[in-house]
Amino acid sequence: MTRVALVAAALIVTAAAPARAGWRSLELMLIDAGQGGAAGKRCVDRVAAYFKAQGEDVDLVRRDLAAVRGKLPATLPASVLAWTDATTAPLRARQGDDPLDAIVVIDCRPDARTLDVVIDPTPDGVATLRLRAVALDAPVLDWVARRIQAAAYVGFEL
Amino acid sequence: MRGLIGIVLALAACKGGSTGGSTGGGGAAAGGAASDATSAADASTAAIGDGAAAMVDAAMASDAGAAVVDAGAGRAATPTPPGVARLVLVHDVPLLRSEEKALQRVASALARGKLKGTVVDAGDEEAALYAAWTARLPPEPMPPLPAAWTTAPLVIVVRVNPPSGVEPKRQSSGLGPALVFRPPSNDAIFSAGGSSTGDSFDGLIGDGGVWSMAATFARSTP
Repeated sequence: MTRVALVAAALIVTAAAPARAGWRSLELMLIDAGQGGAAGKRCVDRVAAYFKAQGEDVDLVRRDLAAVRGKLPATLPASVLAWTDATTAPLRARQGDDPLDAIVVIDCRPDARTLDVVIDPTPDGVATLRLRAVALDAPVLDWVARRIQAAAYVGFEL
Repeated sequence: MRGLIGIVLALAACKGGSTGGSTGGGGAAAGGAASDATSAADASTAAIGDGAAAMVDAAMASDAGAAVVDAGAGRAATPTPPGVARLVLVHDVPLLRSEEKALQRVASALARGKLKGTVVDAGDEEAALYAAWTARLPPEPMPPLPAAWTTAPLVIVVRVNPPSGVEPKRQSSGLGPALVFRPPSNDAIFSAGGSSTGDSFDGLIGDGGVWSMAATFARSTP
């Protein structure tokens, strides 16, 4: 009887746990291209904060460009908008783990009111977002982050 | 004892239901973010052309007293009233009936709020400009803006993706990436290129859609 009660208790605990079948986080790497100085870093911080606010839905890995520069091609285009999936491919692979779902590179320059983003999701090809002459305040950056997330989901598989 | 087992099985069944719901929700969330397709299937298509443009504008006029704009028979850019934002639709095939209905909702939403907007079909110049801007990189040099845009505080250009499926089960594929201009500058204030996805028709005017930022974009000083 005691054994049955223990099994029942275990099953009840299992039943009460959050359901996770067929679910996983979107795994993305966010890279600050580092061209916008302190204001640019705050800008990327805001975008990162949006992803962190998504909780378990987004598993964020954040890197500065300098930290991953060694893995990238020796010559990089002047604008991140010209990056291709071949440019970011070395960053996607992870030793002993599945590749990341998306690589996102942001060049945010609030002082110049420019924002360039390249999103490399799983399938071939990259998506780009470009803002000009727009005040990069919190609502705008949250909106951009939302669109980055949508683009990063392209090709997402469980 | 059997009662206890019954309770356990019932709880397990509840858990199974919860799992299914969660899975569906997660999948829907991911799919919703990744796809711009609307779900409605159409039994038939309906020509957009002049009639549909007039219908859309008539809906706007009834909502907010906006001027009725006729798209005209040609492919010239349609003039719009000064101070009214333009939502320009680029499409090569007639809209599905579900898309026309969705477009009516879009037109009604654009007619409300502080910044008014109107929906027009793209002229040839507008379609070419959209194609140039949604290529891999911004065009060099940037093409001049169509003359019809000069009095608009904001212009949003989107492509209606060709529907998927075959008659009579054609489905909307939603919209392509958006392009936003604040005339008179011929540099887009927002553009999405490469393999960027767009909104659905309802997503366009929903929370997070391009139109949700229209007032902010129009207000932002050059």
